[in-house]
Amino acid sequence: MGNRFRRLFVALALAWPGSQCHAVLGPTPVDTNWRVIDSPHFSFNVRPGSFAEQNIARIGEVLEDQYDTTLRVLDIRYSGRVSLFLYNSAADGDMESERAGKAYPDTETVRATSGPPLDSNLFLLLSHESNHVIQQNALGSPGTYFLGEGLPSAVLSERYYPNGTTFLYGWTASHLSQIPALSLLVDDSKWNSYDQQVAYNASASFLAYLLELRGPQLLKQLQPASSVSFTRQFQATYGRSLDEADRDWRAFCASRPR
Amino acid sequence: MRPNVLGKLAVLGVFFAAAAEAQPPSTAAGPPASPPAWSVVAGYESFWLRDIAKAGPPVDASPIAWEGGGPAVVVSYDRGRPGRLHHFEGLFAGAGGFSLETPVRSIPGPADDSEKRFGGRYEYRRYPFRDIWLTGFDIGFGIEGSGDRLILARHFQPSIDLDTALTNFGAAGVLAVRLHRWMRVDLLATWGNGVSIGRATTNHYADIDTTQRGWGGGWQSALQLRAAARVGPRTSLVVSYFNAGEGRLASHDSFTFGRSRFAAGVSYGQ
Repeated sequence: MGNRFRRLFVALALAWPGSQCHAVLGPTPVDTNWRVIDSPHFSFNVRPGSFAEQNIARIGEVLEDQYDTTLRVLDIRYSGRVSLFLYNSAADGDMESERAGKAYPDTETVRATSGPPLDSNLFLLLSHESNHVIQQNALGSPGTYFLGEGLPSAVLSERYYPNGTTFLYGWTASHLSQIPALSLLVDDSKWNSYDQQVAYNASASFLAYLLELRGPQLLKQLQPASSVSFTRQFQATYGRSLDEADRDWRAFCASRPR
Repeated sequence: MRPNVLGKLAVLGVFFAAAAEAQPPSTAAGPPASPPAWSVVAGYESFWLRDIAKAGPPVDASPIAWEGGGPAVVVSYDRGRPGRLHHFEGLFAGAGGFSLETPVRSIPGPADDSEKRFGGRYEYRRYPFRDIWLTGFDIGFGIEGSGDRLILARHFQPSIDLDTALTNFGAAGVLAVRLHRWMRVDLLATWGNGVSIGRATTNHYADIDTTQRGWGGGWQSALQLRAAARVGPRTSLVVSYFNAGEGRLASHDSFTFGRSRFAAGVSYGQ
């Protein structure tokens, strides 16, 4: 009898699906080795004694400026608190690289690697991911990767680092031949087939150009447009075709002093 | 699973184990509330949701869960024979009191965040392996179909509303383990795994109001532990614990969510 019950318990233990979710397809568990530091709009979850914790004053200063900039440039109302989980390294956060991040707008959360150095790339990453949270909650889910990934970098503040239009327009001018037609870039089915640095920078540069030229109200109308309806929605919103705007944007960037 | 739920389960387990050990092995009498049987159980159900950045596996979900809880009622009807069962089930659950649960603290959410769920499920189950290892220990397999509607109301500061309605249809295979060794006590564990497909409508009210609709697919997994004790000729007391997780993968709208329910009620049958 005892052996039979032991076999039963072993069988049940092997079949146990784990707490909350499926053991294979469910989300990975989260560890509790975090220290929380709050700023007016952010909750920074850092590893005790980490590089991020040592530099949290500077990180908070830059991101608070970015938060205000995003609201002002896009003329949106949002006052939620963004929680950032700053990992020591790619291995620590199970990320693809030492400068990688993910945003989870529904839970107002960001995960990002935040090891040294404390440079413009780190702040570009943290600002971009935080903007995902702010923008999606204020404007709704993007209908395309073009808006979803372009807009968070299109509104980067240049108060501390030249990650905004100074970089984007210069980058566009020097990469004109590599940038696919925007009518292709707005197609979600093709987005992942392009070099992701090109896709991200080109979409951000074009959206920054639209913001500078016509302001945020028209741009907001594009946020929900899907790949299927994007070019039609663009024509209806801006009164000209996406291809025409594409040509004007390239000429604008090329004509700027380097 | 929360520690307080584990504690309740442990107490229940001890109670039913003690009751079961006091009973002689079953002879002519059938298990409690044999089919056809109606059951009604009510209890507390917690609900959680985490949005997904990468579908995986491993699924890259937010470290923070939007989590709440509230009442749940499940009505079920079983018919067939002990070895061949048709199980019909209807569910209503509603959750409030939401918070954002981080790994290290809890952040209260807006008071009017809510979740509602209506659903139905049908399962056909057979027990091809009966009285294995010990008398009254059966292993069965089932297939199930389900449909439910999930309604989420979320709010972000200062005055942003996000309403999501998801209609899901699922199909799953079920592994069932049953122990009906005693006259008055019946124990059952089921574990289902399957797929789902659903259509979501998301209304976002902020600076601009938008409506987005889209299909998505995903997985579902559910574990149920159920104990029944006969208290009358046709009536049994039932307690159950239910734990389920689901994933929805869709363009620009992927999330994983789950439920844990502790419920008690009555079953009326033969």
